[in-house]
Amino acid sequence: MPDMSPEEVRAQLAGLGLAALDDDDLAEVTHRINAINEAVLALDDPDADAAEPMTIFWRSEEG
Amino acid sequence: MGADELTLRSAAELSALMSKGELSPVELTQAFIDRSRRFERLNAYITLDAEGALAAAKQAEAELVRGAIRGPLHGLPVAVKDQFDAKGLPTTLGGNIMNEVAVEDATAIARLREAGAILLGKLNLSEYALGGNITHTYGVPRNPWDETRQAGQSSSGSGIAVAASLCAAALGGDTAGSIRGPAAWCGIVGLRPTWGRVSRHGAFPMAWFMDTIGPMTKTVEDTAMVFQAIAGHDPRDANSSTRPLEPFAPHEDLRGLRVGVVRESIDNGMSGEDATNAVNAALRVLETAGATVVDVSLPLFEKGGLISNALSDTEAAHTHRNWLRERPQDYDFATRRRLLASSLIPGAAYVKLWRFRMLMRRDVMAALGRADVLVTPAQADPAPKIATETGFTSKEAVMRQFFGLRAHRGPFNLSGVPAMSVPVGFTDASLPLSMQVVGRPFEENMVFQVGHAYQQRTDWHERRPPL
Repeated sequence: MPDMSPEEVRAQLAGLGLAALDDDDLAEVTHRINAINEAVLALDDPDADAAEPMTIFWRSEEG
Repeated sequence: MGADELTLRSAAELSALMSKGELSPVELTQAFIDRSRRFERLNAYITLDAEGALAAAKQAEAELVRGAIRGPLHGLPVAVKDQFDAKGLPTTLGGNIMNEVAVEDATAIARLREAGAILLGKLNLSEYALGGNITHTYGVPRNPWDETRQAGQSSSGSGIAVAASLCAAALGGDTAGSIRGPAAWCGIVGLRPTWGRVSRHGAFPMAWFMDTIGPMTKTVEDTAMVFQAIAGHDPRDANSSTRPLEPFAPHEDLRGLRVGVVRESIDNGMSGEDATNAVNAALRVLETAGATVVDVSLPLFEKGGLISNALSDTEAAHTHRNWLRERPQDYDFATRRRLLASSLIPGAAYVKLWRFRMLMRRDVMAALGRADVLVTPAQADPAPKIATETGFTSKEAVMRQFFGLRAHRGPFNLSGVPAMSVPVGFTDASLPLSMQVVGRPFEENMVFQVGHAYQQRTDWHERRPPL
């Protein structure tokens, strides 16, 4: 997955009504979202597709 | 013994003195107020409510005189993270944006008051309980063991206040490690309860499905005492459990109990040498108490920080969306950048992270099937120097620092199980080291038993910072 450029990040933020305040902001936001996307993409487990999310564990345990 | 020396004692010791009529709640409250003012430079408190605390102490004293003792917290001066509402006091969340006087108590605070505790005030925290901010609206939290070092995130003020004896006990909040982390770096005990065990009503949210409120104290006995007062079902938190609360009956014998060491928390450089050695020594102490130590594996352990942070930050981005649009300049720059980035996490990534949360829970529960409790270092390394920049100058730096920071605690907040930091030694530079004891859901008492048995055989919890 290619990294997003600062300009792409700026455009995505604008689509949400958000904005980096300056170039330093934009550079770090870009590093952060690229890191998250790459790390999440790399998560791999054969059981992942079968692991249906459950928000509150104790409800099922208490019956 | 002078009044100031009294503040150095555990909450249980102070409670015993008061119940015997040998210590006045007013005298003790004044001693904590004086000490808090004397060590103001640590920036533990945001609001110190001396007037309100002394008024409550006088009432507690009057009740004591007529023999109306509410319980072990009666007359004990406590303080709470400024993430929770306390009637009549401002809730700042450690930031610039919110500063509203609360009209009612959070349930946990109401229960402390009902139990007779005296509320000294509200404690500093990382901005909005997120962690990672560089500038601090209410002063940089300073670690009492070395004032040039961090106190941990995000219940920093709670860690400082307990370690520096600026209150008898504190409440912190833990979404992704925010009780256990500061407790570890400040050399105190901190419990993240089972999710759903303590009401979240009146607490500002970070990630509702992982947010917890718990005690931070000098000893395990104190933590159990505070936990008993705040835990239990609350109809105002629809997701609080109705499971009954069993009293904690401390005993020192761990025979028949299996302690699982999470190998991935120690092996392959996941913890520094000091933390590893201290936890290994602690395991030997638990063996001396009768426990059998076994190895267990959590294959996804290293991913705990990533999964936990990315999920909770996505939730936080939603919570903060309006302030982020309307008042971005009022956030610390690191907080703003973190929230802007997490605003862009794709929906498909969020769903994938939820699935990996389930896999982490599966693995944690399987490990807790082989052992009664799990043990890891609570922090991989001792407290670092206070930061002046984020250091996130590349994607790789973010991966290394941001995700790695909470790896040791992430698997357990993702799994909703109770986990407690217990001090287990010091570095050569006198910085605290800590182990994390993890239990099955709603088995806080088992976690207390292990921590208490350890503290009966060691004296790390009796050391105080050289202030």
